[in-house]
Amino acid sequence: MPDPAPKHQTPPAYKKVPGRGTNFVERITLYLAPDHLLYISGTGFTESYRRFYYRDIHALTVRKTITGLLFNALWGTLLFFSIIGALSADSAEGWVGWGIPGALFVVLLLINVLRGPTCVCEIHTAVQTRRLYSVNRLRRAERFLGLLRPLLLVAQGQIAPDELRQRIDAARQNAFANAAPPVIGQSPQ
Amino acid sequence: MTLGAAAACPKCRSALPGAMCNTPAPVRCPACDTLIQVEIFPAHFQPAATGQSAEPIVEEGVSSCFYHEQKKAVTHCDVCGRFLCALCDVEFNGQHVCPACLQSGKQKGRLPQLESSRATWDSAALLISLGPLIVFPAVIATAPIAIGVAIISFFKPGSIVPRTRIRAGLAIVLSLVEIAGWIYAFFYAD
Repeated sequence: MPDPAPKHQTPPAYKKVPGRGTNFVERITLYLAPDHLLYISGTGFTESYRRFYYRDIHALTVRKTITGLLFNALWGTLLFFSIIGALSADSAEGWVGWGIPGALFVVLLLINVLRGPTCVCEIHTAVQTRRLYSVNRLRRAERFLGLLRPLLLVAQGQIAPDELRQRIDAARQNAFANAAPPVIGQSPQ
Repeated sequence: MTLGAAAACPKCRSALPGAMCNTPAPVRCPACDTLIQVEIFPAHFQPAATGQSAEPIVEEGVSSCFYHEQKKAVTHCDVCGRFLCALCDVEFNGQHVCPACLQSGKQKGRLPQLESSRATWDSAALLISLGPLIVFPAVIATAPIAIGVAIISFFKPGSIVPRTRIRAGLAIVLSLVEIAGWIYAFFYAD
């Protein structure tokens, strides 16, 4: 009687995609395998895995957000108040007391500026759209697209850019042509 | 083929012309003016895959499926050898496998490609040793637990991606330091 289970298989060789992100509950990291993108969300006690096979990925989208600007404003404001506090202090203890948080805010502001503008990157398949929290900076998104694009094109085959654009336009026109006109007073089905 | 969500602006969802997709650099959405980059891949234009239906047996002398005896066998399971109809035939890593073998392989942890979650004992040990530091007296209870969890982690499969055992090692060292601190505070401190 054969053992009713396939023989043990080793996991594929994974290569880490630089960067990590969080959705406030889980820490998200991405890994590249020869045939899929592995999305790991970890809570610290467990890890959940989602696999996006290269042949199934329909699209990747990136949009710039203002989160980075908001953080710049936050650290800038806190730094401003630290400087005001330090200037109004008349003792060495006051200088140190305001200087330490001020230095921290300078470092945070510098890190945020150097990392560049923030973005939201999403991966689209036929059945789901998932935000890639670890790809949260425009520069990182460009590098990520550069890493993933050739793998997807190898798995799916290449279409000439002009033909691809024509197909998108044709699909768009079909969608408009086939869309039923809205009826006033009737909620969409 | 209908216009999928992928050919739309990721922020305002307005349809994008082809010229705004697969551009070398980000472009501004004509509707919401957000800086966007939309990369569409050939899979977007492929029709959705349809499932196979098993053929019924209409003549004598034809092998039937092990799981559906009224259905014609089209192949056999590469693991257990049972005849399978088109419905039961699961193609996995270039092999034809029956659902029972696939399930069995998944349960026994032999198919990492099908695993959807794992317990990370080493990270848990580190968290247990680090977390209660905020309330120091709690470490008298949590430090031995952290050491136990760290030891277990050496015998359990870790993350699916390769990583070192440094978390478990750190958890043990940290927990020992915490225990030593407690012993010092209990016996030697005034």
